[in-house]
Amino acid sequence: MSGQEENSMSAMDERSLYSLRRTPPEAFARQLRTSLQQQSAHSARRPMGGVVAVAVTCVVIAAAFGVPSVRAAATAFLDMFRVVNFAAVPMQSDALRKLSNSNLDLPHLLADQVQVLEKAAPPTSFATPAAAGASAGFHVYLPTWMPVGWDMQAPAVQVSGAGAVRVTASTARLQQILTSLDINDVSIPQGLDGQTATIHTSPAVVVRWQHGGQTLQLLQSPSPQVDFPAGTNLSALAEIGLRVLGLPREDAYNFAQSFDWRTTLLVPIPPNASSFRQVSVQGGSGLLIELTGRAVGEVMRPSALLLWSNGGKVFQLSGSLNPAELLEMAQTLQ
Amino acid sequence: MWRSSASEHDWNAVFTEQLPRIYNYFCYRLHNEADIQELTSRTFEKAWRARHRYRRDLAGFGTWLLRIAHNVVIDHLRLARDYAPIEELAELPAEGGPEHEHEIASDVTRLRALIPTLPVRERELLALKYGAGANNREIANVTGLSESNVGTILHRTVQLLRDRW
Repeated sequence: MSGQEENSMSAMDERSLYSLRRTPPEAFARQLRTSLQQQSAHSARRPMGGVVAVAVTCVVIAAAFGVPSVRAAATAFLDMFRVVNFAAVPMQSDALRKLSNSNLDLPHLLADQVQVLEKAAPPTSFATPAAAGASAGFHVYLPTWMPVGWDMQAPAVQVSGAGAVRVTASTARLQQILTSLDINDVSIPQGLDGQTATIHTSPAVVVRWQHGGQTLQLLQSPSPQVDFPAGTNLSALAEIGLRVLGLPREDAYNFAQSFDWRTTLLVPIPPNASSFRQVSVQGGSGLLIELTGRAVGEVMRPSALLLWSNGGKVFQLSGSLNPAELLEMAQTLQ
Repeated sequence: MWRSSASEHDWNAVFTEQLPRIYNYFCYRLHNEADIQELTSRTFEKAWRARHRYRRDLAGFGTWLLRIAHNVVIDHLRLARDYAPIEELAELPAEGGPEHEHEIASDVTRLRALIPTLPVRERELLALKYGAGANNREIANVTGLSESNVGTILHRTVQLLRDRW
């Protein structure tokens, strides 16, 4: 290189200052656009939100992860639900307010319809994940990577037992909820009253790591299974639930028709979630939710939750990490 | 443009127009391509979910979006333990002949080496000015500095870079 060329290249000009600019990768732009369009579509189908969505999901998840087992008479049921996919539904603050102002005693209304067939034993602590896995009856997956500062060794480990609860449908109770919310344009499927569904849950292993006052938690369990009478119109029930959550009639119908409710878990996105998106975790379907961070001293800590299913198991990883780190950690599970 | 009640049609136009600005803003703040894409995604997702709070009377949409990106990167860097110098030269798209490519690569190398030596505020102003292509008024709106102050700081920063080049 000549000295003249060297000088020419050494001079900083306006162009030099723009030299870091580049075109966003096409694949990235395409993926982001698609993701936003999906959120847009979901958003257009709102307003979502409400205690019932939370309650319904909590019944499923709590039953899935917190109730001890019982040998249910599975022969009485001919159809079943297992979690394979997740359908995210953003919740609106005003919908939540409407539900909370409705004077509905939802816990009481639901409790009367939910029979705990065997009460859950308290979670039991184990010295190692391997010991917990031996008790739970499955291999406990662990990350091989964690962000700087986190110690993968010596986490706290607990196991919850398997369980089952029976839910009995009551059209009178359902109508009471609908009436309280001024929803007068939905039809409750005939023959629903008195029908029962049983939610079977498997043991769940919870692994927790601590670092500087922050916590990371990984929960894993075989998917819960819900047995229900053959011929149950799940789309119609989903549509009712979506109406209760505030969706307009047409949107609730379209949304309810969009999913296979035998394999899809409805996940209400709380108002404090700043973003969410569908992700793939080790080939399984997942949902990544970024929550509004919490202040730790003067620093705002991020918080996120990742749900995914893989190989018949359901995983939940949550804690004080940003979503990218959480996802990266999940991808390393072995 | 994306109005306070954005329609699907508006959103597509906004996305096409604003994606390069936001993406390049992060190119000047971060060294890792995965982080750049993650924070770009996060910015658009936050903007979409907060779109009903956008007020045209307070700021242009691009400025509002930049303010979100500004907050996103602050949160991200607070979490990051260290700020590695920018690398990844190879991903730079090349235009023109080999000499032109070489010249640009040289500029990139120098700029990437120098930016981390600047104070955080100066880095931020550079990212807004040369990454996002914002004018001084927009930068003032995003950062809370006065427009004249932005001009002064940028002038000094560019001069400093020129001296260290």
